[in-house]
Amino acid sequence: MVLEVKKPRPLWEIIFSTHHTDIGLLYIILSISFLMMGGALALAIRAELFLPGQQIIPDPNAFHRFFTVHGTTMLFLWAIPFAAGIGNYLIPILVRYKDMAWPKLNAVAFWMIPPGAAMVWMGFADLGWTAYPPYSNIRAPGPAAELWIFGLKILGLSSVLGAINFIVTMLKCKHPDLPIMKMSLFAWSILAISFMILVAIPTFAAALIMLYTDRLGVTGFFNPALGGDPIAYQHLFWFTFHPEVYIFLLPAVGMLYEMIPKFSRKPIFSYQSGVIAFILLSTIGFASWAHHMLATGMSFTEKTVFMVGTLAAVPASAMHVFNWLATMWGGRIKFAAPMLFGIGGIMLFFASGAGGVVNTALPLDFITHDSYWVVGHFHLILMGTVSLTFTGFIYYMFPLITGRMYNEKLGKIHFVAAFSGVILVFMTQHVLGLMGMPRRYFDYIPLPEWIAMNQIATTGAWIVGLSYLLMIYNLLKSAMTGVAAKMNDPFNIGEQYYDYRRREPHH
Amino acid sequence: MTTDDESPIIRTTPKRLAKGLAIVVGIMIVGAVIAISQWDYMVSVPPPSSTLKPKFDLSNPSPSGGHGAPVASSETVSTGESPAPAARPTADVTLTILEGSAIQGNPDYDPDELTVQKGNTILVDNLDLMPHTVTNGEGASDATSGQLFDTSIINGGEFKVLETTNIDAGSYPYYCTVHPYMTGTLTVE
Repeated sequence: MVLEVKKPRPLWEIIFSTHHTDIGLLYIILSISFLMMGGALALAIRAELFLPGQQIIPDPNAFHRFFTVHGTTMLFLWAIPFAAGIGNYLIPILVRYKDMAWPKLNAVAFWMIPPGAAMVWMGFADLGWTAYPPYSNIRAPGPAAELWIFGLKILGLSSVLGAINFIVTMLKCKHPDLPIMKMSLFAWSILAISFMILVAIPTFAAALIMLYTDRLGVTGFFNPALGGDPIAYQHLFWFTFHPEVYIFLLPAVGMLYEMIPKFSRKPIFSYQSGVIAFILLSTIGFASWAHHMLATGMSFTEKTVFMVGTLAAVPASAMHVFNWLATMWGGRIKFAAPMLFGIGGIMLFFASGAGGVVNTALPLDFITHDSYWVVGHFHLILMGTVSLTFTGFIYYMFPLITGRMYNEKLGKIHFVAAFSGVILVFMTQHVLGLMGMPRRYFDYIPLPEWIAMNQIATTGAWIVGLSYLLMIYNLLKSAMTGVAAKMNDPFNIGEQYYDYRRREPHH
Repeated sequence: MTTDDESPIIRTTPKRLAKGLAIVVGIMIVGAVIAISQWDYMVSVPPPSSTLKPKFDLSNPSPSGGHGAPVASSETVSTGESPAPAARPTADVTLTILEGSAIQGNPDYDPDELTVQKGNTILVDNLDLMPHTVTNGEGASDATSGQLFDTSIINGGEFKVLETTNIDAGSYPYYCTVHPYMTGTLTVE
């Protein structure tokens, strides 16, 4: 690993290091590992739904456990740690500081993830990643559910600690010659999500404790039999997790701002509008949580407020998209694998955004609610936009991390397969939803249309899965025997790459 | 190879990468072994709150809206408008579905291993608040499910009588189609 050493160190020195590139590397390896494990669960779920009836998963309860752990893993053990890992790698470089502000706190934040992950994966709870009461507080069997609750508490604390560290690094430790309005837009995206994490996560942390005491039977916050209200949990949950959607998305947006100007060989079209859109999105994200609950029987006034609050996110997102398109327009674009993934991410961002507008429109929401439309919609944003962009950034960072080039041809094949696979799975799921197939079902009515659609989706899922195996092969092979990268411009685009001349860890 | 400032660039060797990969995969394998060995145990304990009695009678809301009226005495839980339990017919054998069966991990059929003589009648008495069935087979995916005997849905507090005259001697697993983790075996002699 080129960035971290003057001479090779024993591996344990990297594993227990507090240097930001080492911790960043650990974050990235952990998140890619969980992407593969969560992906394996997704393939099992899709294989189960290939035909109606029971296929490879033994019973409906196991199916529930599969999709719960799949969702929890992809959100908390892939999307968030990956963004934190890239942030760890790049933020100190981008703000020109020797390390993160608190290196030891940084290591603590990372090392809270493995125990949290172990608790989620040991238990394999069956309460769904949302853990809605009343099932989660009076029925869901333990100790899996308890492990899930405490695992998520630990993971939440880890992201809060990481967020504090990022904020202090950027606001207090950045180089005095670097004004905040010249800071890279990727750094801005991490700054925005760090503030969002600080505001959003405590609500869910409180809800988890309330859920736990409810399960013990000592309180009845969400237990109707004791006078509680299950809907209250949904409010607390979505107050955290609607902003969390932007916490997943904004790092991807920031990564696109890193990649697109470089591969287009043009400066960013409008830096200021990017900053403004980040600030807008991170505030508006808090004004739309109850659009997940439009069907729970709120008053018309409430529903209208949240519908408008949701639509208010559209202009800010469109500012980003317009910025990317205007940056690419007229540029001499180099279509390397990272850029292809970036462009694919933008296209699917537009598609899933359009689907989101349909979801939030009140009359249409009641048609799509709890159907496969919703599954298709949020996967299109999380897999299509966030994960494809993250994947592109893995390729983009590869020369910086390893000092070698990945195999460009395999990278492009990966893009074509992953992009078409994602469209096959998640666009089909939109259609399935409109045909009335409910989400989270183990078995379905053997209608020929449903079977055909499910089979297309499953085929797409296998294409995506195989393409990611190809990526793993490419990364491992190239890390060992790839061509040595030209460290100041590995992609031959005539642009400055990151400062690779980091000294040995200073502590 | 050297960089501009003459410090060497150290790139990973296959051996070093293999070592790192062994650590990652090794942790995954150990984790998988532990997780798979604990698979059933992890969903075997219902939460303590599952045995709580409601403090409010939800079937009888108070005129002011809001929460239901408090239940007068502790033993009349959720009787609602249902009258006194109907008299049970006499049968040769009784198979009881215990209260709380619907929750995974609780005891369900009593007795789990039921042995009858061919021709006997079985009274299936559902003492739970939830609907249940007694259906032959290993589960919903079993092709023979419901072919030999099936009570279909028995609502909470109700009963059905199962005839065994058409069942050949042998041992048959049965389950509840609503809660497939409720299982038992019927032996006909």
